[in-house]
Amino acid sequence: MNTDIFNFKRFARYFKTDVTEACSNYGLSLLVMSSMPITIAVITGVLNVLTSGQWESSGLTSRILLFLLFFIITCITAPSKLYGSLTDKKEGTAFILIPASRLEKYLSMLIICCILVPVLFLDIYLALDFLVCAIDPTLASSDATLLSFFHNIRERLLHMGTTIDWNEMSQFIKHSESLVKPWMYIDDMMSISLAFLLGAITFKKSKVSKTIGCLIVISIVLSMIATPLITRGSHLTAEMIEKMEMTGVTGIDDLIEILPGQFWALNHLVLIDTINDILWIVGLLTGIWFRLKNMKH
Amino acid sequence: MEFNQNKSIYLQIADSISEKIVSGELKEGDRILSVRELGAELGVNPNTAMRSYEKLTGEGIIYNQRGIGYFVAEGARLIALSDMRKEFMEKELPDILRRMNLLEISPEDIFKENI
Amino acid sequence: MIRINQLGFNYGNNVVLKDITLNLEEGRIYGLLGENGVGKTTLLTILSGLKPAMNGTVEIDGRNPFKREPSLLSSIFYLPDEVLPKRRSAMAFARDMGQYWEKFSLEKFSGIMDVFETDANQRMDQMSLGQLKKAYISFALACNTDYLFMDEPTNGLDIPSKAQFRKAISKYTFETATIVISTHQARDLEAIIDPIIILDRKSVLLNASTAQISEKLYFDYGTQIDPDALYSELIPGGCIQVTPNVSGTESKVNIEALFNTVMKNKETIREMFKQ
Repeated sequence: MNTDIFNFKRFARYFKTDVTEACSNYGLSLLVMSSMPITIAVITGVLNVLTSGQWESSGLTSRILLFLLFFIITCITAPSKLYGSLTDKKEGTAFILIPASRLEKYLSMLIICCILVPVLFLDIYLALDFLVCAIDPTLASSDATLLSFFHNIRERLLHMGTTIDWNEMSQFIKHSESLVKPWMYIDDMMSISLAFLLGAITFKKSKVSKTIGCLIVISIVLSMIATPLITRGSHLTAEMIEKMEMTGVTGIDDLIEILPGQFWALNHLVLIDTINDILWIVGLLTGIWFRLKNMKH
Repeated sequence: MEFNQNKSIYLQIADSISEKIVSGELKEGDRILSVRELGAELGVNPNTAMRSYEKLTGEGIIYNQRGIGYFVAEGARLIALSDMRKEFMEKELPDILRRMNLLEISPEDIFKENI
Repeated sequence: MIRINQLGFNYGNNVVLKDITLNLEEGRIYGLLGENGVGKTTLLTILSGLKPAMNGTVEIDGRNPFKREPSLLSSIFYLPDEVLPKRRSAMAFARDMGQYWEKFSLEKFSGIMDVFETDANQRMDQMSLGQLKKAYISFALACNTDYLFMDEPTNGLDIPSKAQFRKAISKYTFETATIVISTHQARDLEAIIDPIIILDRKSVLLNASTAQISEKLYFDYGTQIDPDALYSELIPGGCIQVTPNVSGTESKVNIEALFNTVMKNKETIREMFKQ
């Protein structure tokens, strides 16, 4: 390969520099965010001691919600803390002029933002949560850890589906089974990181809020385009209703059987979601690439 | 080095080297600073230092031994001395005489006081 | 070899460079002069690949710097006017970043830091502006690149450092390097820059070595103002004036007087220096 495009040795060197910079700019913040299980345990414990005189820890549900909150905050803020300075003249100039190829700088950025930061966050957070649960007598059961919760999430959801016994919604349950495939979450998370990375290197100020604003606008536009596509044919014609009355529809399965092709969107929920995610990711990756290519100072 | 206002820098550098040769500070056969070193010492462009050396080489005051450096040439002192004398007579003395004339100083006045 | 052909650049309606044609040769220390806002910095940033040429072409060793190919980036060093105070010692910074420039020498870096009497082990974000600038100048010179572009390098340097800077430039730059230094502090760099380039918004007004300049123009310090003088200015003890060189005597180029002469006589100067 042309060494002006990619050279492994140079990439390794650049990645090392980039990680070093990332540690000095964001290492502490990441540590604070991922140490939240301890902070939460201490704060809830102390508050409970003060109010009821008894040490009590926060339950699984609240810990799940807090975990999601901190995880999303991390995914949203990390890119601008790591690479937001590239829109600054001095920092951006130094970045552009480092003799490494654009592809190398790009890959390093993506690995740090989309893999390193989330993986480190998850590892530390879940490990500390595990530790807190092990130490805290009120949380003695191992089922109470976030780790075991996420480990069993698929079974739990399926179990929830069967216990509710929505026979007529069996089709949905089939879908929800596929929805629990882990990569579906990984690509959602990646899109979030990528979107905020693009925002971080595009907007000069209030990077996070401007990115959120843009995402809202884009979602509105996209849903305006996508709604007629997805609901295509799902409005019922008199003919359909007649057909349904004749056969006696009792559930969504019957409906799909009677009207093949009409509920294609429902049938292909996973496919549509996957395509949607892939389009987002490809679009964002392209956007970041061109933003780097056309960055001027 | 403070440069005189009027004269081209490279000429002034060449003059100062000639002066060192005449005064005996630099002896024939001595190695002199490289172009880079001289440039660095005086804080001037290396190309300017190069021009000074080219001028002195042309006059036979110094010579370049390839790969080693510049040396004061055999007979450099005499050449430098006659060059400097000529310059003194042609350029500096007329100015001095003009000033002496203006200030009504006779040559005797100077020699009476200084000797 | 740098070839700039009919280069143009503007920020919106504000034209900063127009029709710039220049060839910059190796082994020279070019001084880039011009009034405020004529795009000296813009020219340097285009040469370094930070901005694209809007009109015309710029080629360094036959390549377009805006492509930012690592092999070309590693033969260029650009020192901006404002530099970044990293959260680490200058030495650690140099050791790390130096790896990207093949011919970088850490000994040279500490050597130049010594010339500047600046402690390389001090953290960059705790340095004064002048110290930080000196750390970056030392790094820039230690990279030993073929092309070195410096934007106002003496800004922020104290008086002794300016002399040290001149010494460092003539001692430590690569013999075959092409160096371009933009400055409006002409006096700081008077003896070090040669050739001299003077820009204005419409074109290159002058691009000549001091030898060529002193061949064409005579810089005279006297008491009598010559009626043919292209420029004259009263100074304590007399005046400095610039006249066409008719006698063939070589005088010392005074950059400030030269700059003012060129600004006052754009067309005459252009004719005079036409090759």
